[in-house]
Amino acid sequence: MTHHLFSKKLRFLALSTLLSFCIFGAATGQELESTRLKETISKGTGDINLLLAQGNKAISPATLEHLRSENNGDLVLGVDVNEAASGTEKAATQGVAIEALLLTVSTDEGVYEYTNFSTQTKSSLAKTSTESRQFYHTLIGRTGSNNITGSGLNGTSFDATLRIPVDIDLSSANSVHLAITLLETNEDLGDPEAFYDYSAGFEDLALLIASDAEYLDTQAAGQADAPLVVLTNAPASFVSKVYYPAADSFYMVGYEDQFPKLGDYDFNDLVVAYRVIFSLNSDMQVTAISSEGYLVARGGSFDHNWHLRIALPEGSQAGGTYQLYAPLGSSQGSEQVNAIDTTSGLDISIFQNTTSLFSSPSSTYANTIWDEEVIQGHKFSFEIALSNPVSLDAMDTAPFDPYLYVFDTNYEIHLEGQSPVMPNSNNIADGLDTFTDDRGYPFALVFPEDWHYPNEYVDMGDAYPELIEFIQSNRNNKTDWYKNGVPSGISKRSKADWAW
Amino acid sequence: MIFLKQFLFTVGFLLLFGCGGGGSAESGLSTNVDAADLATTEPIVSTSSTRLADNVIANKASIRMFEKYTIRIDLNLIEHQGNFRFLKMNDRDGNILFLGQTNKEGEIQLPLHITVNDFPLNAHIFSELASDETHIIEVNYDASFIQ
Repeated sequence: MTHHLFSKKLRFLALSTLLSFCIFGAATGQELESTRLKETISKGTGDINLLLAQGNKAISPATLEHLRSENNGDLVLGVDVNEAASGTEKAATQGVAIEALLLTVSTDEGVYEYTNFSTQTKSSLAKTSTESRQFYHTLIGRTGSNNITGSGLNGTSFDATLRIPVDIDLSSANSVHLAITLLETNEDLGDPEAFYDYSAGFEDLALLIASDAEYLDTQAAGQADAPLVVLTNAPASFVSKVYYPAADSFYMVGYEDQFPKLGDYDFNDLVVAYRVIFSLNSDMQVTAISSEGYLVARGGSFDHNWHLRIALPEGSQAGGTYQLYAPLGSSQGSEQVNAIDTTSGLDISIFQNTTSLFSSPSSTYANTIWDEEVIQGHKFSFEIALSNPVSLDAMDTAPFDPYLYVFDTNYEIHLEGQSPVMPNSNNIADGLDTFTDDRGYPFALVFPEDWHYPNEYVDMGDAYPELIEFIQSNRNNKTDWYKNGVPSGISKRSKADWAW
Repeated sequence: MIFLKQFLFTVGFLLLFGCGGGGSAESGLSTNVDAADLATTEPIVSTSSTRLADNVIANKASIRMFEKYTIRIDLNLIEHQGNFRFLKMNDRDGNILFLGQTNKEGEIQLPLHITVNDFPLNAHIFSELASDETHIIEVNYDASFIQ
């Protein structure tokens, strides 16, 4: 009996010590870490218990108070922006806007409500059913944007921070609830509203320690690619964007690779989709150049490198990287990140050795035989920052210089009006520095993205009977000839098939 | 409720210039190609066939679909009370050509690269205040704008 009593006293003492340690540890912050909350924002709304972590683990009011204290009186939440990739929203940038929030703290002394908050970014947006715009705080992120660690954070990618000033001690709080409502934007207006709309979510939330909050703010995930971003703390340092050809569309460039010999005029020996974006500062000077695109089809048997050259003014310095992404299930190549060498201007050999990079298991070609199995091509993106801003009118102009280097012939093939640029190609040695054939046709053409390339060996004049009238009329008639192809002569593949 | 104002191109509020052609390959920088490029093209020798292989096109003929246009917008006439001025330019299908913040006053120039089928364009000018009207300027294609 005595032993039993002693044993009970010992257990009580041990438990008390453990509790004291936990409370003390939390209070001193020695074990403080960012903690993922159980509840999320779903379908635009969230009712979040800030004292409940992922896995139904309790968060003590003392811990919450320590987090508030460490963040200079703010409760700081990390938000994992998790929106559907549609329109200009994509893996690299996604966003939502906050319409309102209410933080309710219940203590023995009373109930306290807080509605003020801030995020790193704002945008001028129209709410659904209205066309008048006003500032709303936004949350911007991208897929897989961070590696902060903490309780329950594995598998998440927190992006943006949300700060709520709280002026009371939370250590005696009985409950702390956050009601948050995302803005339902007027998507009919296109961007920026379409970008900052919300889909089903879920947006995960985490309580952040100060260092993680600072890390996320420094990362600024997705902000560079998002539209109409106004920085809350630096509203004058804005970025505008001009898109070539447009924010949500691509140029399609098709080649005849037999240069200088006459081709078969199907303009599908290589087909690439690409677009280019200039970022501008407040003086309308270009500060950064980005681009992205896809391999769409290869109907030639020659091996090529596909380049994109954007000439920079003499003396310009720039730096950046480009990424090459392999489609899911591809056995050709892997994802690469490469530094861009701009010592001789911006000329990137993006898709290299196209016959091996883009080959169909069932055909010599890729996606140009009408009944063959279609495959997805690689995609690329790059971004360079200019050391010194360049005025817009001093920049190279669209569609820039998307050109082909053909290994089999050692010739370059550029758009009409461009000149060869590779010192060791045969073009200059052979005096072949223009890119039209004996019949007057170019070897490379840029089309709008709703052009469907002709099937293999189909002359583009057969595929598009109105094309000749377009040319005969000096491009005044049948200006939409590329929308009126003969179905049996053109590829059935649409943008949804190649823009993965 | 917001009131949308449309300004006509002909009142001189908006100036539209087009410059045909591609960049100079020698310099690599943009040059405004003589738009006579469009006007002096000799017609191709016509045959009954629509195949390119059965037709020969003359020098200076082109199959180019995109043209270069510089849109000039004078912001001085817009009275907004907000501290910010935003501009969105989109084509007739709603594709965004430019989106961003602009200087509050003065003229801005936007070099765009679009097809004739992308007209009319719309320029939306707005601020951060709900009380400031969004001004929408419609820009219709006119061949005389091409210089």
